[in-house]
Amino acid sequence: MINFIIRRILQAIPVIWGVMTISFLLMNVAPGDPVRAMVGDYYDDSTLETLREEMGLNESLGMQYVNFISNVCKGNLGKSFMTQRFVIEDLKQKVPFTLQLALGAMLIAVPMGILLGVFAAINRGKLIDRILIIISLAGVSAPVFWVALLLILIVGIQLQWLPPTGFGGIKFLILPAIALGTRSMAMLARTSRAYMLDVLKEDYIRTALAKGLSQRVVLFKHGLRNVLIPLITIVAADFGSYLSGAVLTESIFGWPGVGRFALNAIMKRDFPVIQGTVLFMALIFVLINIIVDICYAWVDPRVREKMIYE
Amino acid sequence: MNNMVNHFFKDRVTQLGLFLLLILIITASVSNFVNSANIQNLDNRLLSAGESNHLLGTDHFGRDILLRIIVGAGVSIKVGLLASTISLLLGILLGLMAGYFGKWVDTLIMRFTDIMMAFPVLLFLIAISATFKPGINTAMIAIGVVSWPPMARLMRSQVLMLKSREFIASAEALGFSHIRILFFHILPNCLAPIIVTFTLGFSGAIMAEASLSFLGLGVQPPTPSWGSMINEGKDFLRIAPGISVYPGLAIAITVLAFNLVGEGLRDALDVKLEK
Amino acid sequence: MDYDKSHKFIGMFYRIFFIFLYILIVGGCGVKPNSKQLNLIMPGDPKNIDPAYATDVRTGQLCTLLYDNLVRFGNGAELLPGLSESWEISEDGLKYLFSIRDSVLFQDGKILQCSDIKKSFERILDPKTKSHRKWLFKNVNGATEFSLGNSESVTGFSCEDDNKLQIELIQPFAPFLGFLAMPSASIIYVSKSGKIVGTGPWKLKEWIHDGHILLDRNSDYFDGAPKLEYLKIRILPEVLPRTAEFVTGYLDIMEVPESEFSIWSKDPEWSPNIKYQDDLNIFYLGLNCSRPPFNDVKVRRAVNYAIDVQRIIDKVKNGNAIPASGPIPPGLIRPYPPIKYGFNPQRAKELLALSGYADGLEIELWQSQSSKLLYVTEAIQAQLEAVGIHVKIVRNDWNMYSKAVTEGVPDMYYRSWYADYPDAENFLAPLFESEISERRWTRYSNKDLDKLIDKIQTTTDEKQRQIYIHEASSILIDDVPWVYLWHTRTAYISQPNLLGWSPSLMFNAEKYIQVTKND
Repeated sequence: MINFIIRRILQAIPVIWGVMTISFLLMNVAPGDPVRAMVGDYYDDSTLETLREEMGLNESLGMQYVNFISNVCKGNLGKSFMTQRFVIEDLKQKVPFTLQLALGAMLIAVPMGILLGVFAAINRGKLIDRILIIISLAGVSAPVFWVALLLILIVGIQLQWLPPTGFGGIKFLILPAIALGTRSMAMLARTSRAYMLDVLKEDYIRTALAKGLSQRVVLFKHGLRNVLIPLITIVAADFGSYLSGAVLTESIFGWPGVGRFALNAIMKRDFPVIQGTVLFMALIFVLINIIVDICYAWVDPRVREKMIYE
Repeated sequence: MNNMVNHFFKDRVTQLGLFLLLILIITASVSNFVNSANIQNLDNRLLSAGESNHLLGTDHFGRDILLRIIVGAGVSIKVGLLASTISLLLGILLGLMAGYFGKWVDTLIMRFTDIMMAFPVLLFLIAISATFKPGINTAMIAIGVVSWPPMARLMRSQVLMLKSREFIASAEALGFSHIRILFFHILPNCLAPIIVTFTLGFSGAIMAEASLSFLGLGVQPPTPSWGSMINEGKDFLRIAPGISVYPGLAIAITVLAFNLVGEGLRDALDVKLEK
Repeated sequence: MDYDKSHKFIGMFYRIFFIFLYILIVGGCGVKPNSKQLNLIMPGDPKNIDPAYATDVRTGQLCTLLYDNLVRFGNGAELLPGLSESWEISEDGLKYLFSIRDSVLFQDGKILQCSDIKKSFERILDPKTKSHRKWLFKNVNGATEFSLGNSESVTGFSCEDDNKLQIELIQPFAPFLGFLAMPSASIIYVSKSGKIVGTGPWKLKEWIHDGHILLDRNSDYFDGAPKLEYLKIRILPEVLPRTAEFVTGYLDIMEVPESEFSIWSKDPEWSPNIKYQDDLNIFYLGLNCSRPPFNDVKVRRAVNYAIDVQRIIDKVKNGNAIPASGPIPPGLIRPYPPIKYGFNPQRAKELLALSGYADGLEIELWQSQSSKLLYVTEAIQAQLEAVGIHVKIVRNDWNMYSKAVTEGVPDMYYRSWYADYPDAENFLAPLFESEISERRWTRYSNKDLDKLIDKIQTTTDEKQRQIYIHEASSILIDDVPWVYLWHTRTAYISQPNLLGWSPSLMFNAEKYIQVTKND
């Protein structure tokens, strides 16, 4: 098992390297002058030149690349062009916020999604099933930023049930988490409904129900076990995308997380920040994949066998 | 074959999807003939739905919202189509090569795919669009270039499945060239999953375009795009919510339509595969 | 997974989840905002809190809260005593003598002395600091040598004793006192640990970037501690969340968004709380005078005639602007010159025909990325189209846009200029002076204007200055290197229970000391 984990980690390294290289290339192909971002309106050419020198922008591309990679390995992600603060410091401040949001979205999406899906499956064909199908379809199709705006408008301003924006307490987390989690919840609802339906058709379930075992027990024990694997896949993929910065959600709600950080940096061509956030996200992606593989092993003994012998 | 077609069309949910898709295509075609979506009328700003012959009201420049949504349909379909096609071609090509040639080609392409998938999609799109002059063309290419991994993976697994089959072995024995085998023997047998993935990917492309336009990086004003309409309307949500709400509905319905049809196709074609 | 375990686990999970949900909902209701805290917003994160790098408005506003200057702006353009209780200016306008207050403490307890002020100013000029605000002190005797690294200190700053500072200039410079009220002239010192310490009414408690800034009041503030105990500045770039926070009581003061102005002004409950402030700025279309078509003054005048400024103001800006006749805002030029180029599309077409563009013209109008600017540029695009000028709008992010304008790329660009200090000179020299100015983006050059600008800078007699200012303004109105659009008026709204606040003319005037809440 440990071997397996180590192998996966080693496999991940070229991926991360590849991501860093592509982002480096992209940044250097970009037209536009990052030095200006720092300087503002009043400037003189000599100041610009000295700044350029300091930021190492005058060296050849190859040299810059080497510097870049070696810095990253040392843990130095550079200083933001705009604010001159260390990227690592800012990331340390912002990552917990994005994590909070991601967890919040998961906590809403997973139980609600499964509940709704199972409920719909049990009541297949009835009106409530159809309604839930439509709601979940809507959830998948509605654009996140649109949902976010409507949530602020309706729940925050018109009904005033929850504080519309802000951070620092659970009540502030609810609206952004709903906006972010809706899509996942809908996907999970549909998937768990589909799998549940399959399970319900199985003979052994019918037998169990006929024998008089409580419906709830049967469903949970057998039905959900089957759902777990696809569920983990969906949850993992979505969680990865939340951590990648629910860019749009964070911007609209004014949530000080990594997504917004990256978005602003891209718009302003703040290369060190862009590269720092991309690295962070790639790491998360890779980490999640490894965790997912471990979860598969845990859940499905067949996969576990395979892994041990790898 | 008959069975499959029957199954597909009989399903109620798919029927809804097809119906919506039909409306969408008609709207998109009509949009070519609409000329007045960009005409400003500063005296008629922010009218509500139904006032002065404007079925959905007007926006902050006095432009008719319904007309802009119609034109936006054309834009969305165009972008979705082109982006999905680019992604289709790239995905098929790379997937075929990876699966068929195997060994280092496979490893190289798969690593590359992993790297692409490790990039957070939206941020990658934003980065590309912000880097190379934002606009509709950049958006189309960017979306295409970023969306091919799932298709590539699919193709690769399909090829791997088919590679071991007899008819491939006999084709090789007969001395057919690789290209011929790939395009005339393998590819035709993968059509079903390709179509499904393409259709489902279409909705992703539309959503991606909307997100980019929302950020100001996709379709540029004054050309209407549903995403940029939502962006323009977000400051007016308390005065004239329609500017943002209606385009959002349009996006939701469109994405829904493609998803329904895609899933319907998947169900129908899966049925065939089982048999 | 073991069957029984999984069942129990799932059951427990749901129970916990529902309890959790209950807490969330209950927790969400009924929390009132703190009545001892002032809640403000900023549309973006300030870049830093170092006066040496205070080049943006937000950093400047933060500096006002954390630090003090020798003199400060009052509610309008007047200069009031700050750390200096009084000052004298010599007859020849070269020597400024400031009497510094005693027993002013820095926020860490250190006593303020003249030497601290001298060091604080020298820091801006120090080549090692690489500040972009050196120009504040460029007229001070010895400043240039020091900033090149050729001397140990600036001779123009001298301390007779701990409480008297003398500043000596090389030549008279009328706006100099205003310079001393700017954010980069804040008095600070750098502690051994590298921390910047000031004397201001608020202390920085917490800064979550792109989130919020929390400040506590400085109870030992020399001018009296602020009446409220806490200040929170929330960073919200989007309009809807700002309105949301205000309507729900979590925000105390905000600029009424242009897009929502009609709701607020028509609402009988809220409209009495709207306060207006005329801004010291000019919004304009810069015209590239170095090449066709705008090297021809007739074409420039044609564009001025083609634009119906009042209509855009009425429709897009809700009437909250004054049409501009020239670059200098009212208040800085008295009396305000009348508008020369009213809306006259007929005349515009005539002038275009005279210049050889009877068949129309194609130009690019550049603007920065913000889509709000489109409200204006698209309206202008339509108006110019009506006289045969076909406009393509080019949007770029700020850096690219700024670079392009500096390099003279666009034919026409939409921009604004806000006063750094309340003097007409700030609307002339930096923008139109042809030798020294770094931002003569229009490439317009007029020697007579340059001479007038020099006189405006060095003359100390107010009446005489106004005469020169009027002459300069006339030249610019005749030659129209810009299309002068408007000077804005900002509408602010505050919570009804907020007392002691009204908007200020200068962006960095307000220190929120007198503000309280009535509960």
